[in-house]
Amino acid sequence: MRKWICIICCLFILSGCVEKRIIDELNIAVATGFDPDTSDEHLLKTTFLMQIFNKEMSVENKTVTTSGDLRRETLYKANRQSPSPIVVGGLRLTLYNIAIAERGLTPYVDAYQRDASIGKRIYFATTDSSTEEILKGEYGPQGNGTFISDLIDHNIEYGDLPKTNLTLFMRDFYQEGKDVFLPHIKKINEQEIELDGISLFKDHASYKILPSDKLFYFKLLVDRYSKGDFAIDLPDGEKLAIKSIHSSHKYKLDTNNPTNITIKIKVQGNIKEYSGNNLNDDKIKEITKFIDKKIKNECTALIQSFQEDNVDPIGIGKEYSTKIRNFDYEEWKKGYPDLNIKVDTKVVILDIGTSI
Amino acid sequence: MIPLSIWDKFKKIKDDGWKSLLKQSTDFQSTYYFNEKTNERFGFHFYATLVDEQIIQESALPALLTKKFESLDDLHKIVPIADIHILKNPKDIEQKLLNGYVLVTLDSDKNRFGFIAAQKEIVRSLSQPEIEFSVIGPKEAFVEAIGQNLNLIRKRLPIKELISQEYTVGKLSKTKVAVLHIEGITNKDNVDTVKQRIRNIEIDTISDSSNIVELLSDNSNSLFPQLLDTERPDRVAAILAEGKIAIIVDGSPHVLIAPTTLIEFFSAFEDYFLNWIVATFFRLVRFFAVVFSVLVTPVYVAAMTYQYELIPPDLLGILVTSRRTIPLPPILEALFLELTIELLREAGARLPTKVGQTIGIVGGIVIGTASVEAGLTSNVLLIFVALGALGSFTTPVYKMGNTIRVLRFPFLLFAQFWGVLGIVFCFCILIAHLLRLTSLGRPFLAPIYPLRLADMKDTLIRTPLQKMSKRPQVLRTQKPKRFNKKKAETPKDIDE
Repeated sequence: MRKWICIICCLFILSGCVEKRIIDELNIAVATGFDPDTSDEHLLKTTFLMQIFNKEMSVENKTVTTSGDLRRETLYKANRQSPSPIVVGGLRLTLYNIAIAERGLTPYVDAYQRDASIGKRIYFATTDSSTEEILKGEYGPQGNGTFISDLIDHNIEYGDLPKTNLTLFMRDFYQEGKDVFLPHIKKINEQEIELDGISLFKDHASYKILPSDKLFYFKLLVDRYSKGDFAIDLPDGEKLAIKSIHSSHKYKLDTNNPTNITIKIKVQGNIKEYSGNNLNDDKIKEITKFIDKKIKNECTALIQSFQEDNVDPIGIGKEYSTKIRNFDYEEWKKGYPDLNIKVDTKVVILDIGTSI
Repeated sequence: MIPLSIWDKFKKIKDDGWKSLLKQSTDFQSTYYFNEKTNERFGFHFYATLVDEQIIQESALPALLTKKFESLDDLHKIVPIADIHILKNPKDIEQKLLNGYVLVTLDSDKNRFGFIAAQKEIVRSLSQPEIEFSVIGPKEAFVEAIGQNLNLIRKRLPIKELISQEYTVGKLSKTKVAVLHIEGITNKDNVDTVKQRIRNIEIDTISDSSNIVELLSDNSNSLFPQLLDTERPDRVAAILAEGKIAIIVDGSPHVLIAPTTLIEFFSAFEDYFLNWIVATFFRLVRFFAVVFSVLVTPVYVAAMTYQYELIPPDLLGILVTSRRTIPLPPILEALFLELTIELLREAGARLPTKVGQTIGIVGGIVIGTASVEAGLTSNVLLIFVALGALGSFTTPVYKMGNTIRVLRFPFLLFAQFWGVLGIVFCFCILIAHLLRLTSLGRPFLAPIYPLRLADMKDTLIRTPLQKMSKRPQVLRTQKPKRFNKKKAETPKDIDE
């Protein structure tokens, strides 16, 4: 009985130790952006984007920008401009100015990893323009944070963006055998932004932007399509739109000579639109062959450029490490540019004219 | 052989003793008549309120007056009533009189007493079940009279193995309690436990079977009822056949069933009248409703006070806007609404039905909408609380419904003090308590713990009747098999 009284007393007395955060007394940040400080006094300029919910359910964007040397320091400074404490548990998106990304994301990733209140499915993205300007725009009634994260979200599901979020980013960030990449966003004007490719990282720092027209081939190599579409110019001047693409890829290692690796890509889709007149079986065969070749060439070119730069966003090193016993990553890294990587594609046109 | 003089003396004292006390009651009547044939004086003593005067006037009295009545043994011959006793011990007089017998004394046979049964049965007619109402299925419910209730059960189980043993409980109320089981099926230990506990009950009055529940429970401090009460004879018959024990208490329209499990409290008997898929769906809905009802406000309070990260981003806007103007912290807001619902329920239960309807309207419309408009509570919480209240009313057994309603308040407190962690902590305490709980020494949480996969056929889901060919393992019945499963599953058509 005394034990029970003790436990119950503790419950009530110690309840003061838990920090109360009542929802309407918080300023919940939905997005943050990191820029280099222009005045050169500090290292960082952080922009916090908060949502202010109106009675009519529309969302007002409110940003606070502060400078500092540490990430937390900017947060403490931002609280001076806020009516209630700014908390980061509602974060959906973090933008990095490309200059910050070029310095390396290690300190940021570490901070995000340690903060338990931050969801692990949030998005990271890089941008050429200042993140402050991007977050200050007016893109839609749902609020900028939601707008940008939804933009990335649906491009992953239906578009050419390979799957990315904080969990996947962190996994690739810390593991040997794969370099990370992040979606790259461009601001068009005050009301519009667009997805402008992928920024590739080398040794935890951004080094190159992969333009959006290469994204289709990049996604074929690193991810799989479950829904998607793409258009292609045929050699005879006609155009073709393909819908509901399914794709998958497989690695095949030559067991006799491990420097040979084949990536088998399988693409399935329906022809949705064709600018030519007649689409008979012969024509389809011809088209299939053409797409096959096109994908093969583009993918090979991509891989070759990665090999030249000695980066591995596809994760070929990871593939090797799972297949080879006593895998020495450092040694493999040296030999990576000379690997003989072949792409084997198989394109299947399932149907024409209809779409599922 | 006792000398006659002493016997006479003893009897005289006793005689006067019982008579003087009985005569204080105005409804005790004592009259003397003379037999026409023998001119013998005989006395009629009875409680006018307990006996059926029609029986006296039409059967007993005319026979005794007109036919030859010489000794008390003649009662058997001349009175056309089966239940006649001739006893010697004056101690029996009080009990018999109070049970509605008429005491017949004969002047020439003073050592013996004759008793003629003339009980007045005040019974109400059978009515529809009110608490466990079902759209389809039998529409009979138990009444207060024990005899009538036994009749309802025996009609459904016309076998000699159905044993009914009667006990008298309560020093003053002398309530009749009957223990029913099926010999050859029910576990003997269980029957003995029930009988022993009923014999050991030390109390003055029993008002209802609920008192028996409290006195028989393994842990009377528990929030959970450990004996199932039902007003449906069909349910009692089915459960007896399953190998459980029924306890009928005179004066109570609720028959108790033991041993029981937690799961049984959430199964409505109507489940067995519906298609098994439909019934399973309803059961799952019911379980969801209970969990929802207990946890919805605590989770709301926890999320609003501590774990705002849990709230989906799309919901955040709605919650923040609804709470913006509320001056109360989430816990007070939740307690305010929960207490409002409790007040409404309590007021509705205490008031006569017709006034009760107005309470519903006042509560639902006026208090609900007005408090939202006044900005005292958020409309989102109002929906949650109302849904939670609705969920708690879906439990088929009324007593369990009450438990569910009370259960959310500790959860609320823990949610306020510790957030989601507190809810988990409270849940652990609840699970620990349920694990320790027993009903007649049988685990209350069976068949979930201890896990009895074979018994799972009638828990969260209800499988087809043919599949339930075995009695619950946890009951350790004498005959584990109910029927031949193979024969039940392969119905033969006439042309095969």
